[in-house]
Amino acid sequence: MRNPVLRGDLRARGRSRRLWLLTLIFLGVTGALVFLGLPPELDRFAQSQASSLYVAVLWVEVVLVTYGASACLIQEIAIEGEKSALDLVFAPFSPATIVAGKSASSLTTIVCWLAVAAPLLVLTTVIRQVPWRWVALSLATIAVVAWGVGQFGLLYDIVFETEFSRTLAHWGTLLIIFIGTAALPPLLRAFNPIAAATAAAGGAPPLAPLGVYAALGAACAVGAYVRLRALPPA
Amino acid sequence: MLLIICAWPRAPATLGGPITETPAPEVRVGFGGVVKIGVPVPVHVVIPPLPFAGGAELIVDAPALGPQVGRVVASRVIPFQAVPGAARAFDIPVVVNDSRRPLAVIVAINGREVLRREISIPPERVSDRLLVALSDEQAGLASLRRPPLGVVTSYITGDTLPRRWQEYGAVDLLVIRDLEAAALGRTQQEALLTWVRLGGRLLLIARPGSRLAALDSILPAAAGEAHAVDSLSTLSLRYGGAFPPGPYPLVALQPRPGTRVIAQDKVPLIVSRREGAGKVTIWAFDPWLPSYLEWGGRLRLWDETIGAGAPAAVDPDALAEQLPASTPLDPLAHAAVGGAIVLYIAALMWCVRRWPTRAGAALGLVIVAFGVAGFALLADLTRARSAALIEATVLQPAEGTGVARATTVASVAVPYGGRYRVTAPPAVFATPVAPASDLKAVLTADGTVLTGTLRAGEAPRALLAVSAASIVVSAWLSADNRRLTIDLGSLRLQDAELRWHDRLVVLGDLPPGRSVMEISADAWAAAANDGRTRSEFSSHLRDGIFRGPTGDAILNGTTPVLDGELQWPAPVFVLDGARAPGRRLTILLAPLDRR
Repeated sequence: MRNPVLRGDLRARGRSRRLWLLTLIFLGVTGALVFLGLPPELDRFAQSQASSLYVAVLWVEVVLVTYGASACLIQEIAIEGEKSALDLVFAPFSPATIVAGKSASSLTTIVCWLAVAAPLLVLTTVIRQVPWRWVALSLATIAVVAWGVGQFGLLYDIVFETEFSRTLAHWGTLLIIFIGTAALPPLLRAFNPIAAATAAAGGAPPLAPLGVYAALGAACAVGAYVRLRALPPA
Repeated sequence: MLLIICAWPRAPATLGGPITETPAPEVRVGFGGVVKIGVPVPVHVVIPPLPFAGGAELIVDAPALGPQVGRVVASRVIPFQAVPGAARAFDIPVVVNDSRRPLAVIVAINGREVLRREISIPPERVSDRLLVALSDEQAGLASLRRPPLGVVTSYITGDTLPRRWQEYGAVDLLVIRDLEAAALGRTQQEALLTWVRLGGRLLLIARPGSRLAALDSILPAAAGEAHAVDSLSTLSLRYGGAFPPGPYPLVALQPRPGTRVIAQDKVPLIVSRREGAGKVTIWAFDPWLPSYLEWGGRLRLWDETIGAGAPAAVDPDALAEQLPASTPLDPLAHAAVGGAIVLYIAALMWCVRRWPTRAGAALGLVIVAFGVAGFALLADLTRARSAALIEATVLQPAEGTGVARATTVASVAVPYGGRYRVTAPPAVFATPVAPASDLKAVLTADGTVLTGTLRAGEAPRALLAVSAASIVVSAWLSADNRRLTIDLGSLRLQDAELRWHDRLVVLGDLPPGRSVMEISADAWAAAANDGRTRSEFSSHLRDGIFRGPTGDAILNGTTPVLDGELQWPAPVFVLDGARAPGRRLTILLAPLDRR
């Protein structure tokens, strides 16, 4: 952990009361869903019987983790002691260090959230004998999608100066990604994060969506780097 | 040229068939190739010497018409160890449900198919009424095929008789004319006796000097020496038709007590006796002889001997419909899961909040690891407590034989979906009630293992087992229907009742041993208004018996039937890994004798 930005962010996030509360809410929602979905009769909620409540748990995870990741980077959820990318420009860190540190801290947070919720997911998957490979694939899909969308937060934090425009752009992006893609033709609907998680939950690797969200994340990181470099030095 | 190349027959190896040149297995299906739809028939397979060694499986795929979409194939499997150069022979009971598609016999070694043979069953080899004859003369009964009898006749030899009594299910009448006693093995003898006692019909053609010690216990008469009579007017009067001029060769019969005799001038011609639920008949004459083949009344005699089929048995489909459709989740498991979730979240969040350091993070990881292991165990436990087997057995005793037909219907519920494994004892014929492709029956020395998969939320899978149970229960009514005597041996009968047509008499709980009750004429009440408070499961099950397709045949016999809940010790099916208690109920269904 040689990146000072990553080190500082993780220290701040580890001590943040707000992030702790967010994690508690995330675990509480996931736990409540797992518990309430315990009666096997509830598996009949889908006409096809192919889906089950474990897929619903994945849907909740992909939505909450993706929102949490981007909201933390865009400062919508302000973490005590964590500095934004723009503030760090005035510190003796290169733009590459800042972008890499912010990206890595976001990915670490995502992995932590998925890890702490893993026992609850295990409960709902083992009970339904879902193969481990499918579960791992689903978690990897959520991580990539959440990281890719989270990078929009990093970019918007640098690009937009006012908090209102940042929030507007953030929510607009989330709505496009989660709702707009659901209205696309069937072939393109696979890029919806929920559809991608559902595909992974059934054992089918959603390679195209994974590639697109990873590329989007990388592009946003590059965009953030270019923007930081263009800023006049302190 | 291109058309010729395309149409040219290709070698089997290129057609994706077996990769070996070993000859195909020898397969014998049913009785001389004749089968009856929907009942178990014997399939004998001889596997030629193979050049392979290892774990092998003989698979018989029987096509079926089932509720599932697409083609349904019911698989029965016998695992064995293949030894290079050694031939193997197997008997496997199979239910043919769809004769339009071939039966496939497959040999797989180490999971790889090495032999395959497909057996087509032509329509003329499918029969509703089947007469099986053990006779050296394999002709003379062809006329039975014509209306009004419509009986298909099949000639077999003694060594091909079934080794399981359930495989006689297709046979309406077994005729023994020429049978070497030595050709009949012990298991074949027992299977034959059990089948007769549980409703089978056996006809023996007396031959001079023939001795069948194995069947002596059920024979209604002893055969003696050959002689002849000049007239068979008794048979002509009874069955019509005229005989060609005599004399008529016969074998002397010495009827045993309790038999029904048709005699010509005190010379027994036909002697018969009920044996349990079945019937055994001896003819003193040989119907294969020309004088009898030319007799015009012989078809009526055959028709009477074949009878109307086996006695009414309970309908498995009707019973299966009465089994509970779902298993409620154990509240204890629900509470344990809820508590574990709360405990996990509280411990993790407290640790992270209390120690926001690297050590705290490491401790958090440990809690997560324990959480994964603990929740996996808890999930297994919850799953095991929800998977359950509900079983209902109907015992129909064969009067005076100490044996009963046991029809067991069970439902396997795996509410969260996944694989199940159910074992039935070796002497039981176990099969799904409705044919299913996703269910495999493996016949092992320990019994029949039924394995399959249920999807989450899918309805329970209904299974059927047919077996013979040893039971010493007898019940009879006095000739005036006023006095009922029941001997239950060491068993206890709960919620007992007498049923006849649409009336019933409530008898209540009956203790072990002999009970004698007076039944007054006004004790009979309408069955629909009994107002009883027995368990819901028991009520539903009795509805399945008496209101099912065979209910009328059971209730409208010549005597009432006794029914009640029997305290029966052993389950038939065992569900592996199930921790839920499940439910089990045994119903006694005994037609009363009149003495």
